This record gives sequence, C-alpha cells and structure tokens, in this order.
Amino acid sequence: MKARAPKLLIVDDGERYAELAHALLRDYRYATRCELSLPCWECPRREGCRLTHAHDWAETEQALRRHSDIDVVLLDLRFHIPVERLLPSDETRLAERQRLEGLAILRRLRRVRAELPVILMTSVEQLGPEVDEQVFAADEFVSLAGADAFDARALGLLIERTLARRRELGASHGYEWGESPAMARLRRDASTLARTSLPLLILGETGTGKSALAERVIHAESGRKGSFVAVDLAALPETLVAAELFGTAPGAYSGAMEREGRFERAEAGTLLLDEVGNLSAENQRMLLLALQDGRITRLGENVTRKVDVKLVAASNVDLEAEVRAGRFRADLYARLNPAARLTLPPLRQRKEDIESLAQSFLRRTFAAGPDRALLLEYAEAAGLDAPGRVQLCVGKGVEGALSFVLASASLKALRAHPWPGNIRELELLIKSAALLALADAREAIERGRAGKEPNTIPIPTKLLRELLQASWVAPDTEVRTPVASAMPRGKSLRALAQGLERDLFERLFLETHGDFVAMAERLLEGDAEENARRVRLRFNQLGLRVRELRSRLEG
Amino acid sequence: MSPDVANDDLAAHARRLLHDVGKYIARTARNVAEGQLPPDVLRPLLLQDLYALDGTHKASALFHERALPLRAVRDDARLDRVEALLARADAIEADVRAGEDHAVLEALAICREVESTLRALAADGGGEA
Repeated sequence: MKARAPKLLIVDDGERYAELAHALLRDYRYATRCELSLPCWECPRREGCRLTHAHDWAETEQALRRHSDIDVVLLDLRFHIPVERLLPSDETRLAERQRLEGLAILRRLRRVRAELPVILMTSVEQLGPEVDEQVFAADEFVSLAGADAFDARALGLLIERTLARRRELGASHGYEWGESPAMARLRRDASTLARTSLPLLILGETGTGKSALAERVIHAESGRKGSFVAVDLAALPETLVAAELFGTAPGAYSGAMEREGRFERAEAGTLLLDEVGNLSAENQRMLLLALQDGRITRLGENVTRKVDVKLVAASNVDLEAEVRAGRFRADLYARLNPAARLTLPPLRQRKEDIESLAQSFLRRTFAAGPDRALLLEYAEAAGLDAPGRVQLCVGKGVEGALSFVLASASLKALRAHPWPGNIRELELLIKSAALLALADAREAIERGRAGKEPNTIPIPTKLLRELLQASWVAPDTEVRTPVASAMPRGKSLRALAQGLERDLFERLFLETHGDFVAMAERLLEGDAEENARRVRLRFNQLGLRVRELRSRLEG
Repeated sequence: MSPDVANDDLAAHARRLLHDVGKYIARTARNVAEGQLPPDVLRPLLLQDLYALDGTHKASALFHERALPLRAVRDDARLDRVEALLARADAIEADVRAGEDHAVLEALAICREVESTLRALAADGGGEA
C-alpha cells in the first residue's frame, strides 16, 4: 500500500499558487480550512471556494489548529490584504507592510511551530536589499523560489528536497529511531508490516515507545485514511472495556445510550489496544470474535457490523508466559500475529541512542507551546532573534543555533544510568534539565550576570546528576513483575528467588553508583558501615562482578 | 526630484510591473513546454492569466494602469512592445476561449514574451530617468 502523501499548507493572499498546485501537484495532500475530506480538485464546490488555503495569519493559525500533520508550508511574501488583517508592525507605510507580510507570518510560524519547514515563494529581488538576510540564515528550511516562480516542477523539487532534508535529520513521522542495530532492524520490519493487512503485536517494557511506534510509524505508514484510535486497557475498569471497544445500543444496561465503540471510530484506520494483557477472559473472547470475522456487535444489539481496522496490540508483559500460565487465550494470542511481533528494546540496551534521543526531545520541547514561549522570553531578554532551532551539544555550543551544552561527564552519567523508565524517563529528564537551565540563564540576565555567549546555555552536571537520582524509584513490584514473567518455564522457586535477588542487587549497585554502604542502608537495618561487608559478600555470591558493573556505570 | 530618487521610483515601478503582470501572466505558460499545448487542467488557468489577471481585469488593462507611472518619467520601447502583445492577446480572446490550438499556442507565446520583457525591464531598474 502506498505511503501517506505529505501534506502541504499554502499561505497566500491570492488563489494563483493554490490553483496551480491543485492542478499539477496532486501527489500531495493539502491542509485546507474545509470540513470535506475529498481533494479540492474533485470537489463540486471548488468554483470560487476560498477554503482551499490560508490567506492571512489568522487563517494560517486556523489551519495549523486543524492539521497537526502538516509537512511543509508554502508561504507567499507579499499580501495585498486590508490593514486590519495584517500582523502588527512598527512600519507605518501600508504598502511596505503588505510587501513584507510574509516575513511577519514566517516569524509567527517559528514561534508556534518552529519545526515546520517553510518554503518562501518569492525571489531575492522581491525581498529587496533592506531585508536582513539573517532572518533566513537562522532557518535551514527556508528556500527561495524566485526565477522559478509558478514553475510547478521546480516547486515540486523544492518540496521534495525539503522533505528529504527533514528525513535526513533522523525523524520519521516524529519517531526517533536512533542508530542502534536493534532499532535499524525494527524500523525495517515496522515499515514493512505497517503496509500489510496483518494485525501487529508490539512488546516492550513501560516507556519504550510502543504507543508512539503504533501511531507515528505503523499508522502513518499504513496509508490508511481513517483515524488512529488508542485504548489503554489498563486504564479502563474491566466492566467498561466491552462497551468502550464495541459500543452500546440503547438499553444495553441501565442508562446505556446509542454509542459507537473504538472499533467503529477506527474504521479504515488503526486501532491500538495498549496493555492487551489486561483483558479479562470474557473480553478476550469478544476480541477474538472481532478478529476472526472482522465484525463487531454493539452491546445490547443483535446486528453485527463490519469493521475495517488495522489492529495493533501492545503489551509490557510477556504474553507468551501469560498464555502458558493460562491467563491469556492461546487462540487470541495466535490471532495477534506473534510470529511477526515487534519488540522494542529497553533504553539500557541501546545506550548509543541516548544522545540523538536527547537531541530530539530537546527540539520537541522548544518547538511549540508554553516551553517555546519561555525560550522566546529568554531570547528577548538576551537580545537574540527568535531561535529557529535549538541544539543539544557536548562540550561547547555550535554557531547559528541556540545551544544547550552538556559536559562530557554529564553524557557519561546519562549513559551509565539504568533507565528503568526507558525513553519516557529520558524525555522528562531532558525537558526538566533544559527548562531549569533556561530558567537559570534567564535569572542570570535579570541579575546582570549574563554570560558572554547568550546563545549557549550550560546544563550543569550537578543539576543533571540530581535529576538522575530523583528520576526513578524501583519499587519491589516493578522489579518483580518483569523478572517473574521473563523466567523460563520449569525454573525452581529457589532459582526464581535468586534471580530476583540478583536483579535487585544489580539495580541497587547502579542506582547508588557502586556504594555498598548506601546499598546496605537500603537493604538492611542496623549499622550500614558494618552491613556493607555482608552486602558485598552476598553480591559476590550472586555472581555479580564489581568491575563489570562499574564499566557499565562509566558507559 | 533628484535623479537618484527618480531612479529609485523607476526601479520600484518596474519591479511592481514584473510582479503584478509579468510573473502572474506566465503562470500557466511556465508549466508548458514551448510549442506544446497545455493539458486540460491548465486551460482555465491560462484564461485567467490573460483575461482575469486580478480576478476581474484583463492583463492588458492591468498593464496599462500599472505602466502609467513609468511612462510618466520615461518612454521605453519595451513598454510599447508589451502593450502591443497584450492587445494581440485580447484580439484572439474568442479563439483562445474556444480552445483553438493555434490561438492557445500564440497566447502561451505572448505570455512568455511579456514575462521576459518585463523581467529585463526590472533588471535594468526600469530604465534611466
């Protein structure tokens, strides 16, 4: 099946570019302001319609709100629109404001959606000598279509070049794959399986990115036109699961109304059943029926309804073990296509990806919303232009971007951390570190202690270590559940207990950075100094090796 | 008015003429190879380029209005040439609307020449005052 076509938003006061694009660039989707889903060129109401694109900033905002999946913006420079529709400006001459309104819109776009590539549809001659070219130098995505104006082929090439550049940055529908071999293999398998009609099973510890994989990769690459619908089965009371999944007819139970379920809402799209291992026996039976013949029945109704959904099931427990234990139906497990399951590795097994993931999370943090607003406030206080992008660097910043700088010791600490919360934990930690560092830098400016390079914001190692220490606690249940479920069948109770104990000691060693006194404080009552020897002895009996774990700590 | 100011004005008028008439009129022609007929999907666009350039006015009328400030300070033969080309486009309007191949090809050629002539004028800064 064909991959989903990129979506373009045209921002132009006139109709000319939109008309041309709709005539000749039909391989793309367009972010219109219209409720109808069919392409404009197939629409019977096309004549005279002005909902095809955005004509000013207010309409651009409207289109951005409606379409979160825009890939490229095509922006005109000159806007012959009335003064009340222009963005505020210090320029008093109306003609000048109209002539450069596109630049004002570009600045607004950077404020609200910094990551969006923009193609400015004008020429250098049209910009004139008075325009500060720094405006463009800061944004690697802006290209100028000057002598090629209205050349649909040239415009198409610019769009493709912009999209290719974006792909090169490592983002795939916003999903950060990283460079590890395990993820490369997974990427290939996910892309292939996304295009098939087969159901998919995604396994992985909590926080490894199962939902994001389902939405940003599987659904995005499936080519399916319907919606992505997710249900977290762990968050629903068992009694409501069936009604939520399959819908209800009036009178199905006291107070029940006619309501479509998630299967119907995902028609022609993708349905993610997260934590599928939590389904009760009865709900497993109903799901099996739906998977067997592609039909569902609303509660309280006898009529069956045909549904066309791509089903993705995700779980953080070993479903195979659940089947063996009799808690999950073998026939339902088989229907979930376990042979082609996608297993997301925990972050501790792909530490080479930590830097690129952190980079991606940093950019996402400051791309839009309130965190972007904080960054802009800092830029204004520091006398900087609104930053087009931010960069996470080790050692020192880079030119042309606002850089958050980590010391190499901080990177080591990140690599040594066991990341029990996986990618989600890393994302929160990076966001917190960057925002706290930004607040410190802002405060320094306000107190007249600003550094020489306002474009560089250091993230202190002490701050990062504090955040790392506070970012996770390993309750007993968190240790036991995955270990227990991962135990091979037939293991003795003694072996199981020893495995759990070994895992606990290993985690504590990593968490305390190899401090046996600190481990003793957490494990035993009494004098920690004295108990440290006992802990060390048991540590060795369990087959754990200090040198091996220290090398992990040092990355 | 000093010569520099007059030249700045000329350049601005020439740029506007290129933008409002030259750039827009060549929209369809730029996407069709010389000597080729446009696909059906582009024919309505060609009619707009020539006969409803700003939504209502013909390209010839718009050019006449936009060229007035330039003509007031300098009479450039290239302005006369563009005026003549657009008058010819108006003369063959009925045939272009009827989709006559020869008329459509001539209309495309007119669009290309108008654009290149006005681009050259703008590059010269509208000529010397």
